[in-house]
Amino acid sequence: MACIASIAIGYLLTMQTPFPFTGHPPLIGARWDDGSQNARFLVAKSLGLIDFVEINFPVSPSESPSELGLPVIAHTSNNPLCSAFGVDPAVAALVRQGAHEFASPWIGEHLAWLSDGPVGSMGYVMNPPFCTEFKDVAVENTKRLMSYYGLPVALELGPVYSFSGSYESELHFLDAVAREAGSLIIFDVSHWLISNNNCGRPERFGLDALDLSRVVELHVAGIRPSDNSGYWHDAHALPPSASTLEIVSDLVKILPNLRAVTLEHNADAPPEEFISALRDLRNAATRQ
Amino acid sequence: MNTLATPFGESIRQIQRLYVRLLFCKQYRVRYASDPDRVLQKFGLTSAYRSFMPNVSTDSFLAEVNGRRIGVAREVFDQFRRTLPLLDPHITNVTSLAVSELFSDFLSSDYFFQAENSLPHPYGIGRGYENVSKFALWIKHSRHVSSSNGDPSLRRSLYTDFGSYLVLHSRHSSEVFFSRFSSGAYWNEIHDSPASLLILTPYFRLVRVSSESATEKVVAMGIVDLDTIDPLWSHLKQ
Repeated sequence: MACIASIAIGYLLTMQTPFPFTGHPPLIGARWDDGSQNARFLVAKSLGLIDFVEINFPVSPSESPSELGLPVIAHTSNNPLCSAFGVDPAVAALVRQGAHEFASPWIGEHLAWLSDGPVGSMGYVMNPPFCTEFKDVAVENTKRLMSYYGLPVALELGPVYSFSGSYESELHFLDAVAREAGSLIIFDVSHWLISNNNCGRPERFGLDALDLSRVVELHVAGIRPSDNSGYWHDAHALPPSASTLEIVSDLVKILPNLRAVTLEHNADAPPEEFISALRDLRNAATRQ
Repeated sequence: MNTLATPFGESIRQIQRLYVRLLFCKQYRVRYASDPDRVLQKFGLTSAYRSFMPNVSTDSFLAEVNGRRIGVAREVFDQFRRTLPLLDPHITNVTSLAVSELFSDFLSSDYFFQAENSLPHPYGIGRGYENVSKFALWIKHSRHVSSSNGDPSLRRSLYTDFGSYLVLHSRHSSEVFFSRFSSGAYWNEIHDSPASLLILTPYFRLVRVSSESATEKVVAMGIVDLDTIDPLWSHLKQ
């Protein structure tokens, strides 16, 4: 599926984006949610540890991520691409505006629900049943959004606790949506490990279900076991573990169109931990 | 015309509606566990749609439910630290809020599920994208905070916590609604008794003013009466 990468590169050329989309080794960046993170991002930049910032749109109008002077990848957790009610145009408009303002090479989106209606969010992204009916919904929503944005969309899965649906796994569902919609993929390493643990599958289950040439970005964060059960959760307050970084190192070698590796780390976690996590991630992603 | 709307039928929307209810609403989970077909029928779905639904009794589903409750509880606890112990003295942190009956009631309410019962999000994306106003307006309504038989101490705590949220976002929100709180917010210390007002200033100080003409003066200064805040108000004033 080299054609997918060509599509993305085509968009980039027409936009004359400042995003340095050069290929291996992938660029290293981090997710940005608000201005309280600016100080640690600037330290990381001065140390040569960060190449880009991933902005989670929409952002507060009082925030100025442009102060960082870093290339931007646009992301959002606020569009429910699996919603049978479609996507809220008010949110999509702000995401599109931000992505174009910062010349993002693609827009990261979640294969998820956010509520039980046409607008709103009840908190963290929710998985639909992974079945053909919601695959069709996601394909339609993704195509419409790509057309509206005039940019490629890269699809991301959330963590799975209780799998339901007719697909063999959520990764098979993701692959079906991405192929049919013609989209890119963000492979969230932490969500993948969490889901495989929670569903009782082998640690690296499901990678062969994906068209790996569509993967342009990795998301990496800490994970933790539940206090009172055997289930694992996302833990953006923690740095990625050594075993997660080992997997990142392996993935970088087999993903032909990988361009970006993004650290997800909470704004209220220690800044020195952010710096060391970026350093460790860079080492893992560039290891030969 | 909304070009981003999806042309899918009512059944698939009802699947989504019910599935999301099962993730948050304890009452629906209990009912679904004992009689799934009856609950499906309430949503216009036949028993054939059971295959789309989660097994609500499994540990994995309940672990997900627990995680989602904690996520919403974190958002609510951070804003209502003064108010929550008055509603339930056992609520002292995010976890105790998440497991409380009070929180179950909130997560089953129309205030949680229906975006039109909330205020606009400060980032300008409309209603239903935050849980602070949903919770405040639910408490205001369900505990009769803006009526003469409401608890004065709850009234003071809720309006201080919620007023702080409104005043804070008046500083930098792109949503016109919040600009109305740039001069602060006030309320009668005792409902229907304008002799003593509490004013939350733009600097988050709580000031008591006792004078016969106090209401007239604060209204003239553009300070908003929190008793008047409800979702309909935000709709009418935009």
